[in-house]
Amino acid sequence: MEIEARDLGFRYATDGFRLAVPRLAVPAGSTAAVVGSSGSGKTTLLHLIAGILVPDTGSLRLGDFSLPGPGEAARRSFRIARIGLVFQDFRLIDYLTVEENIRLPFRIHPALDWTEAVAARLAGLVESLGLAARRCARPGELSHGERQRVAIGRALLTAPRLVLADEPTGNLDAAARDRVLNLLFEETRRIGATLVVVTHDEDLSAAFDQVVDFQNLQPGPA
Amino acid sequence: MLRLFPLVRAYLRFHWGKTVILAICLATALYVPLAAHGLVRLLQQEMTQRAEATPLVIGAQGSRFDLVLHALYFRTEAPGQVRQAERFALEETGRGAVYPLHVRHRARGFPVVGTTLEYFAFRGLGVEAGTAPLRLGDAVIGWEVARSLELRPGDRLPTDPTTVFELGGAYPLDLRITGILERARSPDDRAVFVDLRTAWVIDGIGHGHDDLEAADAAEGLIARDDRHRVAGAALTMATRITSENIAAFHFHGDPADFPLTAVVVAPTDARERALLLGRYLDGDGAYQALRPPEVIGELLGLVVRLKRFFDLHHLFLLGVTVLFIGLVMLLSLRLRAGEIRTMVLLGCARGTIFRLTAAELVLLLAVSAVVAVSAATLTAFVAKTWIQTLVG
Repeated sequence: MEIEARDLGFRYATDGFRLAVPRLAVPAGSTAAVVGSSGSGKTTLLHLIAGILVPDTGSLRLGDFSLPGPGEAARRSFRIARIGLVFQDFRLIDYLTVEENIRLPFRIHPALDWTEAVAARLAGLVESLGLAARRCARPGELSHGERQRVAIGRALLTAPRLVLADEPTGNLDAAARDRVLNLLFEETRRIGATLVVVTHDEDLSAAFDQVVDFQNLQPGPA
Repeated sequence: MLRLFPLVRAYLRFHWGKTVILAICLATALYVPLAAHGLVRLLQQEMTQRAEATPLVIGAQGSRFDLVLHALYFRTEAPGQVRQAERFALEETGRGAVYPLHVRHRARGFPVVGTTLEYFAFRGLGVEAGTAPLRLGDAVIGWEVARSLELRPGDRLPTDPTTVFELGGAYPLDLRITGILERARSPDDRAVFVDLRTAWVIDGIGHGHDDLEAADAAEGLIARDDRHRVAGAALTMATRITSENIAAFHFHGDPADFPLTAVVVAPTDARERALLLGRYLDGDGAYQALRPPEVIGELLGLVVRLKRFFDLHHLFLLGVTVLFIGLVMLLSLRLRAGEIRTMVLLGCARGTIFRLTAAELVLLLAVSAVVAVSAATLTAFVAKTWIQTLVG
């Protein structure tokens, strides 16, 4: 899914923080890293792309879906069906097992149908994420890395066209960080999705097709 | 909604402590009025049934409730005595079957009911083992008495002493159990049935003692002349009726004056019943005739009025419980803000969150209702036998 934004502007009413993105273009199937210091607005940009926040000005196009445009319900349906979200703090549900956490989008949105193909995809994901032995464990029983993988599994189960990951390698050592990134690259490549990763670690830039640097907000090749 | 069910179930299972507490609160709030309603209905049913099976009760003037409860359940003292002459008079009218009752004594806590053999046929009581009381001093016991006291035909059952500190009073009588009644699920299960004459022996009206004419009876005699014998405390009184001493038992006084505590009458038809009731319409008379269904209906009316008060109380309790559950759910939603935020971020509608919470409440309510209804049913089942035995 291609991302194209022009003159994107958003301002928080609470603290007055203002985000301005003159231009952003991420080709379909590519990978992009959004880098910048803390508080620079990386997560806000991710939320704008996901349709969680609505831009005050400018336009944002995700494939054939434009923002702002349709109402809240349409944005929700689009988000849950077409976008996979990996949150910085994983946001797993503590009373659900690994399998049920990954399956959560299918439980909470009527537009997603649970089919045998999806069930098979779930089994494959659990296997490829190395969670087969932990499928019945709850988040409280998992290590940091395992929780990270569950969050990635949840983002990928709907076979989204766009995966947005917010600091997925935060608090990880170098080896774990590389494993998580490789996993994200492999899985998104497998389903042909576009991957946008927010990170404050500029060393990771080389791994991505494109880097959006919040220092100058001028996207360019890595 | 169905797709949300596994989430609801997982949440309630994971937070099982909270779930159990809420379910107990709700189940209790539902169980108490349900059980009370069931018990009152059962009580009404059983009391009405026994009352309707007892067309008329004749007894001394006094509390109507006491008289009916006495004649039907053997539980309260009769308001006074009925002379046996009244029984004879009733029999002579030929307006119905007459069943005299004499309930003044107890044996190991169970009421000793003096009556005639016809009473068993009237109540449909069959003998499960042994025979009906045929001889003076014989007793046939109810199913519950036999079970509680582990008695069998041939065993002995002493009546409870009524005048422990009065040496001249009536002595306890050692009853010979000749039979055990089939289970009737009625107060008859908890009664010891004897012949009327045996009841009078326990009263002290009839007794057996040493032959005062015998040569060796001198030490029991205080005085004698040609016509009278005056016995003293040294005279041996029989406390057990046997084949050897039964002939020595005798009654003093006119049988027409012998006491009864109530008389049950089954009139042959409505006309005879009206005539019998008319016989006691004079309020100045010594006796009264009562229709148990009316008296029991009046008594149950009081129970129902009392129940209405408790129903209001239960309604209030249920309201408070629902408010409490609402508060817990509200606080729970606050605690679950992170979880709800995650669902919304993923694309979940607010309506789905509402349905999720509602489904939890519905499931909790359903589980509590099942528990409450099951417990109330179990209570009614357990209480049924108890109520039947007490008042059925």
